[in-house]
Amino acid sequence: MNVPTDHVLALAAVLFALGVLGFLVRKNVIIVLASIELMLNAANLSFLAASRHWSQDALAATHQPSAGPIFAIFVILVAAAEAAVGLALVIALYRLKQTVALDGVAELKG
Amino acid sequence: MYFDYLNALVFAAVGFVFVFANLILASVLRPKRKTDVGLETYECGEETIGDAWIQFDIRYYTVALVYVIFAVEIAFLFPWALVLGDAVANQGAAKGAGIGAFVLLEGVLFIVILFLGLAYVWAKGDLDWVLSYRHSTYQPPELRAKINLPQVKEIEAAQEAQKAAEPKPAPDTEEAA
Amino acid sequence: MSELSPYLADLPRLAPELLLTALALIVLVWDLVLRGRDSRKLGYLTLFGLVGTGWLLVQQWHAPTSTAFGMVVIDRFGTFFKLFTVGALAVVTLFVLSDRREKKHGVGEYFFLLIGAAIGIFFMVSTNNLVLLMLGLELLSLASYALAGFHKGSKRSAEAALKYIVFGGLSAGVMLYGISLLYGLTGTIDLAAMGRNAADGSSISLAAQFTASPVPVAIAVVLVLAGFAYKISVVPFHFWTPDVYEGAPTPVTTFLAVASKAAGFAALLRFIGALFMAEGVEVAVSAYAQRIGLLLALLAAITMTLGNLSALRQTNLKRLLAYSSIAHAGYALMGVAVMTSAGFSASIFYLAAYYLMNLGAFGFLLFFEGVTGSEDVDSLKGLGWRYPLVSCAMVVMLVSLTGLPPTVGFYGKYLLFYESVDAGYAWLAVVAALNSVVSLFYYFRVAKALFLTTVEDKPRVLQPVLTGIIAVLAVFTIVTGLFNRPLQEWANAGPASLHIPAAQK
Repeated sequence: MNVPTDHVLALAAVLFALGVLGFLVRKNVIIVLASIELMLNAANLSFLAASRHWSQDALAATHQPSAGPIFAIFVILVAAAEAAVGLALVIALYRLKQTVALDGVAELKG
Repeated sequence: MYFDYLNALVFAAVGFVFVFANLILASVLRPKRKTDVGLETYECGEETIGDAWIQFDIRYYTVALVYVIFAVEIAFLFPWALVLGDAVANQGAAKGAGIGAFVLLEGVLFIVILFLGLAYVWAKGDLDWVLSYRHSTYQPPELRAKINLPQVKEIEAAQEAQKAAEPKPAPDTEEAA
Repeated sequence: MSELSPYLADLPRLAPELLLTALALIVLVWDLVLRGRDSRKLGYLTLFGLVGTGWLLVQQWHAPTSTAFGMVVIDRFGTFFKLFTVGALAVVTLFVLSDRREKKHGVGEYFFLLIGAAIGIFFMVSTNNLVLLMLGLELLSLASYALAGFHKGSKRSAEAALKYIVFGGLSAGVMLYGISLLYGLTGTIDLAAMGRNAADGSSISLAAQFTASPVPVAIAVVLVLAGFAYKISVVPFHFWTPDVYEGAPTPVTTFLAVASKAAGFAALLRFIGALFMAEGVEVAVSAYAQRIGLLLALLAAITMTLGNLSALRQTNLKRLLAYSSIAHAGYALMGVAVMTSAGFSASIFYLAAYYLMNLGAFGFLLFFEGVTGSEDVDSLKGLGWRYPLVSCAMVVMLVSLTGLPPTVGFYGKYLLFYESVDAGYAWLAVVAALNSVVSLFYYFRVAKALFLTTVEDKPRVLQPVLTGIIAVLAVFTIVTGLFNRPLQEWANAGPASLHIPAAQK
């Protein structure tokens, strides 16, 4: 079975759209951070699909097929670091306000 | 082209059929006796307390943070180990590049910096499990009581003190009555 | 050890970055040893290290352009921004040390995070490799998130950091998805290779892809631009700016407004330069570049108008400066939008001016917080007569921010207006000129509060270090305004090292 690259890219696009949707409609900070993870992983899938496309025999010599997986690993790093800092900030805010809802934070306005 | 996905579809269909067929079969065959024990989530081990749909304590995320950092470290060490193997054995993609020592040094530097971070977190007391936040505002680690339970000696001392302080249940009063 | 030679030969080229990394680790470990006591020592160490880094960068300025490890491009464009970053960081470090509201102990992490952010900027402004660009950007962002939330016990600080990371995460996701599409379209992650068809056909240039299928290319480029727009707070990705700037500690706000924003601009200039304007980029791409230019021009106009109009109603000086920095991002974007070599130079010159005048303005804000403990414009009343030197310096900054002669802000704006009209964006120059008039109102309000009212005398609070910095910056603002030739020549070196031909219109 050989899945065409188009289909993988379409799946990545759908995942990305779901991530954006989740970011826009959810109020819980933790869910919002999870939506961001979904977007980053959609980018990862897209990187790997592209890498597979460029690693075909006719193209591999003149392109950089290995760049896709390398990028994907670094995206995983970015996602983890962002989640770590994000959750740490959520905990800091929870200590102060006992809430994880984005609506609940409104000290700064104007 | 879409035919390619037929085996995925068959896989999914078999999975669904397997699950639901077993559930239906079981509901037909099993005796219908509802006891308190039979309705529990797990049929052995700990007794369940309360609902599973509760919000987990935010403190668990501190554990998750540390875990995530080291999980990602491993994600980097796998590709590094593959390259190191090739570079040291002078084969594969690294053949003739002569980068064995350089690759080893890089890996060691990476891990050293990472452990510096771990040591930092440890020394700052952020790996301590916080037993309770008795104050509504943030308490730095050095001000938090690490364990709130009293020591055995303290309990014994308190009991002694209590005994000493209690007025003797004077036996003679009873006699007098 | 001879086998190490090809790699060791490249290491000296990264000397400034290596020095900063070593400095960061030393600060981190020393902070542990000090256990939060005496952490001002770490600030002095940081200053010392920054001076060393600056010296190494000056050496690099005179060295020819080179590439380290095939990823880090060491050219005058990058070195220019690195030098300004080091300068801004040194000033911010002095701000931290002289912040009267900051506690005197336990600020060791402050310096560690600032140096970390600077390392991110260093890699971000000097690479054509998208992996390294993304990593530099994220290192800067992660350090900034932590810095914005540095006052853990303050609700405003924690909220600012949370808003920052939520919007930052969104923009990182959008940008990375855009990069993944670019990689899918061209098969390379090198910006220079992406722009043009190499002789051996080693990539399909974006231009060729654009003639074949314009929509995916447009989506990819716009998604990546959205990531930059967040970093430089351009409409519609500016929502976080006022809240984060107001909630973060003032030295951090200074860092975000000055160094972080200029670094975002540097990466944006490199991205657009390599993709659309560098030598060897196909002719087919120029029509496409014009369209991107028009989009950027529209964004610039909207950004400066929205920033200035919102600043009009602010009563909090910190928030006022935040909106003013949004407006200035709009001005600086004009030079990018015109898509000419001279426009890029004008943008770089304006960013240098922006460094000077905003460092001064935020320094004044910090000074005045130390005196009154408040951020309200109203509580400035009469301070001009009590602190004449600092207040006069602030008036110079305000004149420069408005864009009036004889300051560097005037000359920067003049260059931007000239290049816009020259490239056929006369309407943009008109919008910008009208905006400058609007901005006069709120900048003047600050000056009015300082000098045109008098209140009863109170004992003076002396902050000699801050006074010195602000005075020096004010002098620089006037001197570089009057004698702008050297700065302009340095700015002109930028497009040259990005391989943008000067004659291109």
